[in-house]
This record gives sequence, C-alpha cells and structure tokens, in this order.
Amino acid sequence: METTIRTEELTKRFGDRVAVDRINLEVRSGEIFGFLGPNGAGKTTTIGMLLGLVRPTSGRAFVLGYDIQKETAAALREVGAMIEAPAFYPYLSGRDNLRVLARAAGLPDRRVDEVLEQVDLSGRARDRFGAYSQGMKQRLGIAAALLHHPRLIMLDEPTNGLDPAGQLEIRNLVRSLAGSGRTVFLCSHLLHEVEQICQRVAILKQGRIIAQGEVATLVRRGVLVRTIGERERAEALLRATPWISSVSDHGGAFLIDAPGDRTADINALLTAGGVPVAEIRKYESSLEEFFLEVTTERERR
Amino acid sequence: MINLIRAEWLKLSRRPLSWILLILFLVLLVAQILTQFALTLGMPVRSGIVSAQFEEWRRGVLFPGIFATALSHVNGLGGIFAVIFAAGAIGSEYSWGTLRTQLARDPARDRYLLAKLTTIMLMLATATLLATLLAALLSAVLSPILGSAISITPGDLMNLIVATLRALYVLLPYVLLTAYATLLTRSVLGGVAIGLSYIIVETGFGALALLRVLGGVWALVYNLTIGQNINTLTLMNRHAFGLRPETTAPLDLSQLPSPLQATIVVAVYSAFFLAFALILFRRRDITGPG
Repeated sequence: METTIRTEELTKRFGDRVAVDRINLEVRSGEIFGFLGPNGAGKTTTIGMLLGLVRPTSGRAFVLGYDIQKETAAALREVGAMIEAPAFYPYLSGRDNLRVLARAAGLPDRRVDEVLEQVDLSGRARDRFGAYSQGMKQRLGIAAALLHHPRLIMLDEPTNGLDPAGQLEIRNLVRSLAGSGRTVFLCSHLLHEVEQICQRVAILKQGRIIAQGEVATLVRRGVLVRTIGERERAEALLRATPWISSVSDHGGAFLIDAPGDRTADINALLTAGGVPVAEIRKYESSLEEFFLEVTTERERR
Repeated sequence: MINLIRAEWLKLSRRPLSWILLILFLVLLVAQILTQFALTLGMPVRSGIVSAQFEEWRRGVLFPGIFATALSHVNGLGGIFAVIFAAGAIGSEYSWGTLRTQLARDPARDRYLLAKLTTIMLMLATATLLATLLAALLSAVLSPILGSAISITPGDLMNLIVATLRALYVLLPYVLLTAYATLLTRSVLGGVAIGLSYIIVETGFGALALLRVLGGVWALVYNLTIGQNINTLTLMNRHAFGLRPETTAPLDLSQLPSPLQATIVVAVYSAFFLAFALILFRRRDITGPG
C-alpha cells in the first residue's frame, strides 16, 4: 500500500528539551490514522514538522512522497490542515476568512461556498468569526482544510467544543473524506472517537512513539479468568491447551487469547485440573484502556 | 504574488484598526490645515521672522503649497501611524495564530512577507492619496476666503507625483524597521515600541542631533542616520511646492546631506531592515499563537 506520511527518526529539540524524539511514523494512503498522546506529548510539534512550520533538529519526513524540508511547497499543495484551535481573523466573517485563503491559493469564491455548505455553515457564513461558537469555529477550520481539494487532511482535535450531534456529524464527515480516497491524519485525545473511526493509530508520549499499529490489534480481545490461588497450575493448563494461543497477566487475572464462546470449556478445563475459578468472562479492552495501560506502564518504569 | 497581495488587501481593508488609523490621520490633517488657515485669516502686519512664518503658513494652505502640507503630514504624524499599522498587520498574525494557518498552506515565507509589506505600502500610498485629495479639497474651499485664486499647473501635478513617491520612500525604512522588530518580538507591541522609539529618539528628542555638535566623525555618523537623510527628502518636497521652511526655522541647508546621498542612505537602511526581516522570518519555527 502507498505511504502518505513517513518519518525517519524525526526529532525536534527546543534547547535542552526534546519535544519529539526519533519518531518513525507510517501513514498509509486512504486510511484514517489516529495520532494520540497526552497533552505536551509532542503531537502538535510533529504536525508542525510535517507541515514545514517547524524545522526538525534531525531526521526526515516525507509527505505524499515529497521530502518536507526540500519540497515543502509541492507537498503542501495537496495537504489541508487544522492545527490546534482554528485560527482566523476575528473581525472577518467566516466566509471572508475563507476568501482570504482562497484568494491566496488562487481559488474562486465559488469553492468557498461549496466547503461552507459541506460543513453546514452556510447559514452563518456572513457572521463575524469572533462571534462564532467553538463548534462553528471547528467547522470553519475543517472547511479551510478542505478548501483546495487536498489528498491528505490533518485535523487536530476536530470535534473539540462540539455537542454530541456535532461530533457525530464531524465523524461522518471524516469517514466520508477517507471514503473518497483521501487520507486523514487525526489528532485527538477522545479515544473512543479514534477507536470508532481510525484504522491505525500511533501513541506518543514524551516525544516518543510508544505504540503504533492497527486499532484491532491494539484493542485486546479474549477471555478473562481469575482463579482462587493455584496460579502456576492454572497457567500450565492453559498454555498446554492447543486452541489457546496466548496467556498473559492482566492485573492479577489471566487474559487468554481464545474465542469468547469457549468460556465454558475453559472453566471445565480448569476445574478438572483442580483450579478453583473465581471469575470467567469474555473480555474486550477499549483503546482507552490500552492507552492508559501503555502510558502508565512507561511511567512506572 | 498577486494572489497573496489580493488576500492581504482583503484582510487589511476590512480591519477596523486600518479605518481607525486612517480616520484619525485625516482628522488631524484637517485640524492642522484649519489651524494654519485660522492663524493666517486675520494675519497681522508684522515684520521679520514672524511675518515669514505667517506667510509660510498661508502658502501651506493655498495651492500648490497645500500639497507640501499634506505630504509633510504623511512624513510627520503619518510615520507614527505607519509604524502602528505595520506592526498591527504583522504582529496580529502571531497573536491570532493566523500565521500558522497561512503558512501551513503556502510555505513560501519570503513571498508571504514581501506580499504583506507590499500591501502595507500600497495601503499607505492609498492613505497618502486620500490625504492629498482631502487637503486639496479643503484648500479649494479656503483659498477664496484668503483672497487667492485656485491655480494648479501641469508642473505642479508632475511635482505631486514625484513628491508622493518621495513621501512613501521616506516611510519605507520605518515600515521595514517595524516589520523586523515585530517579527523579532512576535508581537504588535514589540513592533510599535521599537518603531516609535526610533522615531522619538531621532526626531522627538533630537538626541542624535547632539552628535553633529561634537563634529568630526560624530558629525559624519549623524549625517548617516535615517532622520538626517530623510530631512533632505522632506525638504525637497516642501521646496517643490514653493514652501521655504529654512526662512522660519533654524535650518542650515549646508548641513543637510545631498539628495543623492539621502536617497542611497535610505535605500541602504531599507535593504538592511528587509534582509534582516526575511532572514529571521525564514529561519524561525512557526509555533502556536502568542
């Protein structure tokens, strides 16, 4: 599959502080990629480097096949971005703000009206940006990102300040953008949102990528078993069973990689082996749990 | 580049600050002309320098001297307005975070900054033309009251074109210094503070003029300051329309740099400030608002 974003040991230092530390990202064409991390993890600095706004200290970044440091203009011609809070001129209307961007890019005003329609902002397009609600500002930010028909869209917290209906609308919009062949690079701290719409994610913490992969593989599924003592015997029995592919510790219980409909078989296996079972149930972790697990794990170390 | 200038024009022409500065600038011009008119209306018969001063004020209200009055206003108070306008146009992009929005689309920073500076100068040119037009209209109304006919020769109009360009050229180093200072401090206030401080030190307190008194190398240094060279250019504008400020003020024309030197020195300062601004802007990381 074609790669839309690729970074090689990308690093940014501000004085002694390392904001982004040798990250290797890979975002594939047509996918919705989630970029996660706690506040201050280095997400916005990374986006800044991918957009040529921040100069990397070392490493390289390729966007749509272009070396972002050497061919910035060529790359950005096909990138639409909304970074952090949408930033526009407060005294101009939403429409005029987009007209400024359209004029600079040599686009006709007709395109401005199209994207305003797309984000459902036509009705308030002539109001001052300074008078917009947070949700309207977000919509205008997305409209600006879509203005020049980009192949790659980078959205930083696009549903910030939106009500649940607005969030759903934006999620659907993001899905439809990816459905039309565009790649979406989505920064968000709303993990359930990312889980719902992203195919793959990377988790950044203190400037380093601590996990990267498909959401389906990061979200753990299986059977959770808690025994009353006899841990060693239980583990030996489970590991010896051919249809159980892995056994791991999960907060004092066992997390077993096995089909969820075999809980009765597992129970029978353990009780026949003389291991009393306190709890047995199907288990499916959320991305949020995974996120907390990997981020706090690092902290403990 | 044209697209960027059109975008900048849209931004700046809709900005309330632009209109506030323009209105204030024009109101002060009208106030200055009306004050001169009032002072000369019942001009007493006096002799010597006082009489010369009254005559100079009178000429400044009538054609073609009114053009010199308008352009003198542009290069006087207009310089302060230009500094505030330029700092606002550049610095607000940082405080609103809009610089990042713009450069995330088109990374050609040199082109962006040049388009912005060009637009600022075009707007200052528009303000200069409006000021000249308003002054001319006012003069057309006041001249008959002062018993003078309205007469403009083709030569006056030619002089007006050259003098307008000269007035804008005089503003250029201050605009570029302010642009550099604003980029350096990433703030409107920083740009205004440094731009105005320079003007105040140079003209307001006449602090640099002390160097001339010291003579020798110091006098040479003084002759290479922006203000001293600009004095030559602004004086040329006054002379072009028949005003003679040297008859009413302690102004030693022999101490002023030649027009050629003045033109070159202003160009060199402008080139330096522009180069510093471009290099700084090219190298800087563009982070969040503030």
